[in-house]
Amino acid sequence: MSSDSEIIKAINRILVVDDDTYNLLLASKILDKWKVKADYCKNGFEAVQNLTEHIYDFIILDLQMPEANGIFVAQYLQNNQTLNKHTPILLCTNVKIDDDYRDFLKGYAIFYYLFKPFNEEKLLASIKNVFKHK
Amino acid sequence: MSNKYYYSLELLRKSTSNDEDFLQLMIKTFIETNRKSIDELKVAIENNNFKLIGEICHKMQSSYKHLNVSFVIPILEELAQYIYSDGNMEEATSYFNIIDDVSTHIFSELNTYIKQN
Repeated sequence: MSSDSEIIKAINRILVVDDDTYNLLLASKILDKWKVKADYCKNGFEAVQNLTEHIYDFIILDLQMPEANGIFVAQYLQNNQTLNKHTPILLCTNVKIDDDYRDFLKGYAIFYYLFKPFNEEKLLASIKNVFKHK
Repeated sequence: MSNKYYYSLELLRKSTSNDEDFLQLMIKTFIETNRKSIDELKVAIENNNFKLIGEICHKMQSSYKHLNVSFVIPILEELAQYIYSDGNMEEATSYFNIIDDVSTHIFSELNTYIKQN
């Protein structure tokens, strides 16, 4: 599987979690263009609800959200037998990830990153990275 | 449309695949969400809440970077550090005035763009 269109076609469903409407809209534009099925949530609680109901190929997850943040979602997946226990997380963030922070995030099974503001090319590159290791 | 001293729609236009309707939706969302954030930032400063100042500025960063608001991005990055440690309230107030002034100008220009297109 090498071409971009093959990779996109192989995606069944994605969960996008971000409390910022602007980022959710941007993601929806790209995913609509790709004709990829996606669910959108604004906080960790909504995300957990979706994660118990559908199987996702991966989760685009914002780190800092009020109420229930990205770590809350990652921790939920680690601690519960769900449909998505092994679903890769693409952490979507502004924050620079140094080695210590990378190790911290690995503890929550977060291995992949997408830096904001993202575009179609960046998202595709991150997805290719996820699929390479699947 | 762009003003080289304030912002550019180039990246946003590319991200929306030149879909004008969607571009306008993104612009309206940019204005709405950041107007709200600026109001919240003002209150956070009045309440000397460094962590909340940091969180709001962190959140504002991605959309301001998307529009390449060059005057404001470094300020947001600096204030976002308040999440991790207490900052300087005088500095925060001074920076807030810049964020507010520049953003007001940009919102006004973007609203004009929406009306004209």
